[in-house]
Amino acid sequence: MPALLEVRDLRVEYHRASGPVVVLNGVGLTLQPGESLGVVGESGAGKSVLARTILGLLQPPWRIVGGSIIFQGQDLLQRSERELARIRGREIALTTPEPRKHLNPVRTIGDSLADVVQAHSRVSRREAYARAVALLTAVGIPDPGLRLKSYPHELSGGMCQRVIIAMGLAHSPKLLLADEPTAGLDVTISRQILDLMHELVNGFSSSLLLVSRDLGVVAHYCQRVAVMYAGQIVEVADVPTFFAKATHPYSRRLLRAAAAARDERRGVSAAMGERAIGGDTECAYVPRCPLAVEACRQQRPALEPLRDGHRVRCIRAAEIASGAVEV
Amino acid sequence: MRFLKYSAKRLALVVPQLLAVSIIVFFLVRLLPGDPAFLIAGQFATKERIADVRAQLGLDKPLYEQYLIYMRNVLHGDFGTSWRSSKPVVKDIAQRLPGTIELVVLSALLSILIGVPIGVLSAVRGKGLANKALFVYGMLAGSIPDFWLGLIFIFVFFSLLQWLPGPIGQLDPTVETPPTVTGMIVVDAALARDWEAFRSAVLHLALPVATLTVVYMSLIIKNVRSTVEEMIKSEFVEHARALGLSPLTRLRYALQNSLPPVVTVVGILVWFLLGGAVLVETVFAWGGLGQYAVEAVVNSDYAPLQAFVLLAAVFTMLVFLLVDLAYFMVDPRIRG
Amino acid sequence: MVTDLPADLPRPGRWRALAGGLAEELCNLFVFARSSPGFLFGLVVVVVTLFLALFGPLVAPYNPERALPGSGLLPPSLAHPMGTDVSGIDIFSRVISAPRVDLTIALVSTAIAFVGGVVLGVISGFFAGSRGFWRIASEGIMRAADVFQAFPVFVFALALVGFRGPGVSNVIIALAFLNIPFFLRVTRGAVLQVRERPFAEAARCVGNSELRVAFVHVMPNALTPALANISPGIGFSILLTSGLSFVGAGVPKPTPEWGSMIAIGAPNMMTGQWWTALFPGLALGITVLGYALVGDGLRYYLDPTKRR
Repeated sequence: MPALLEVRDLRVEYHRASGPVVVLNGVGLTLQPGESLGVVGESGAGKSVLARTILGLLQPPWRIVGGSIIFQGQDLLQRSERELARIRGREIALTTPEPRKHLNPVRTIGDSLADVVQAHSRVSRREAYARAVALLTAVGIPDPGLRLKSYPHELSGGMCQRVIIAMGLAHSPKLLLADEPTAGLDVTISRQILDLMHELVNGFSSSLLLVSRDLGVVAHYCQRVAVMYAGQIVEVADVPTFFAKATHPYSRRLLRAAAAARDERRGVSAAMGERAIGGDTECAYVPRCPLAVEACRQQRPALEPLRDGHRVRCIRAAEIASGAVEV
Repeated sequence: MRFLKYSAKRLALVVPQLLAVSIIVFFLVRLLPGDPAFLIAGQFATKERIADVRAQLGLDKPLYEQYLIYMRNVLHGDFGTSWRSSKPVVKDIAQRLPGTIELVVLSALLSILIGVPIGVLSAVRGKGLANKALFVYGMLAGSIPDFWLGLIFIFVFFSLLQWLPGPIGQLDPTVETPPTVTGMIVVDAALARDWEAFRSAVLHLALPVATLTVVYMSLIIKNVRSTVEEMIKSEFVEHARALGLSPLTRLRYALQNSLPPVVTVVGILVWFLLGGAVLVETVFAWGGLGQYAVEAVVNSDYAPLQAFVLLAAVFTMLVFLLVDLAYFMVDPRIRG
Repeated sequence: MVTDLPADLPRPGRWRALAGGLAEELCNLFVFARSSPGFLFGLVVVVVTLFLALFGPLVAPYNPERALPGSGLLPPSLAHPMGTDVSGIDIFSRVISAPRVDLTIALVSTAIAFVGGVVLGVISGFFAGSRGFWRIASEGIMRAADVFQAFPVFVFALALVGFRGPGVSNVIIALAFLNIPFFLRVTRGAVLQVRERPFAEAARCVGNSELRVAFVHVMPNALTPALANISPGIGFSILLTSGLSFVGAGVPKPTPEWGSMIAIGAPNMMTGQWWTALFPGLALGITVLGYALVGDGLRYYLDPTKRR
């Protein structure tokens, strides 16, 4: 079965007066129809940028300098803005970590939702409002008829996120890019939001790319997990394999941290100090890696398969997997 | 209903402000070195007249009583007498006010009608030669004196090209003034279907209005441009793009959100125009309130000056009140 | 500027750090100036006007106040590069002598307004929302500023000068008074932000009195917006001065001043002698533009978020 989404060697730079900064350094991943993939990593690893790049939302000073994004057999990077506009919101949809900021503050959510409905289907305004009510019901907002007339500042953070999800799923997209959907929400609400998304995505048989800093969330709601570090994927595996046999030193560190933070519901935080991304001359994790050896500094490792469905970007992967070294 | 509540609250705020303004204006006269009665009565006043004024103002009474007397007079429409014209100030003001209103209202309208679209276009288009030109215009307009620009316009369009009439007031002296309805010659001429007077009045309006508009429209353009630009880059417009909404819809979103700050800028524009009108009226011998105030200053005629300052402040507060109310109608976040 | 220094340590003596960093900042500023033509132009204007303020009347080819009967209204020529006015005085000499008056007024009034505005801004910002006497002071200052804002600036300037009488010192007083709210507001905004920073808290905890924290610790870090607005403030004062002088309510006639020069030349403009009012106005425009550009450049330079 052909993959729904295939990202190949994607490179993205951010241009500053002092020179370009590499943000995505050759990212590659695949997503099958109906599959859910979790992308984890710390702040600044490039996860949000990845989601936005897939939809072609980047503007200068951000620049795509290499790679391809194949969606349903077509390279999205070759598509014009007009063609992308037809795909956005209809085939691929996006949610955001800051829902309230991404809603039009001077427009009622009914109007905003109806706009989204009418963006990709020829229906009357009346019909659009009716669909909006249906969507609000589907995302679990009580009194949807009343809520149509509310403004974003009158809604709680959780409700705003539900509205954003409603907008995203208005046209039953084939792929939902969920960018940290539970950022800033407390535990119970987060759980509800994630359950809701999971249910809806399954109902539409859509694929889900869930970007998160929380390994626990990914474990629960995704089938596969990809770990991002310094703008590249360093490990990919299905969830059971990952949690049993994660190999990359960074993945192991994440797992340990997640276990420790489980009760505090804290994601992974960035290490202190700056990391320069971009060199192809050495492995990006060298500064923090307890297993780094001379060979690690010679060359950037490739994402090699370790076993079926499990790939790792580390030259010592085999050693770690066999238990010859302790991480 | 919420609007009425808000209006009531806002109006209630105005009252103490009005009081404070009146106190300040009252004290302005007390700034004068010397005997206020003598100064207000004027240079040619007789001893009896001075005594009259002293009694009128209650200058022998304690200060707060003087203030009360002053307020009572003002509320009855008595702003004193101009010793230069020997007429009650109220009459002078009534005669001259329409001319100033014409100037300020027309300039404000033109600045908005021309400035807003330019600002929006400039924000949408982004970089480019036109934008650089606008930036230069903005900087220049804020730096040159408006009265000087008026003189330049007069030189170019009157002395040189002879397209427009000279700075001799609102109407050609050979043309008869239309019967007074509003006091604004353009309006009155149109009402009386006196097209000769209408044409003359419009021609005379052209240069002063152009002067004020060229200088103060830059304010509108700058503000509209930066607001709309900010809105276009905002997160909710970006998200609309992520959902595939058309560029036109996104522009609508940006413009809707730009309305509240622009409404505020309109208030500031009027505030500036009031100051600019004083100088421009002087240059064009307009015969309006601004010129009246200047003449009062030059001739040490204090009653009219005091009245003018009070009126200017009250008018400004009114404008700010209207701006606040409009803002309330236009921004749902204030309502909630 | 001082805002670049780490914000999370208690800093008892910011003024010492200020002096030390100043030299380095001037070097950085110089580098920045080279990359920004507008800023450079503004700096040139500032230097030239300061020079003219000091030496203008001395380097003027003719006496700027002595009338030469018989040479009235001469068009620009080699002898008189800007022509002569109706009394025969060389306009060029007057134009370059005017900065002395205009700049003096602008500098003094802006300095007074800066000090007054910053102090009031610190008080109203630092004590906003607190209790007791200082809270009343803070609220009072804001209310007063609001009320004074009801008067259009030029109208109020006219009134102040009108009631006190024309003359340089009265113009200075009027302008200083009018510019205070401007500095007040920008300082207050900065103070509201700076007082939340950890180092301010620390200074309080260490035992400093509220006033000391406000003026020794918070104020130096909140000065940036006010400083960046000094230059535009000067330009604005010059415009106001010239407006007042134009209507006869500012600098008295014989003294060369751009606004009054325009007034003298106005009747001649209309009869075709364009040079009488053109040059003083040009000088005004270029000067105010220069000061505004310096202000813009400084604002851009001092705000690290705007630089890319």
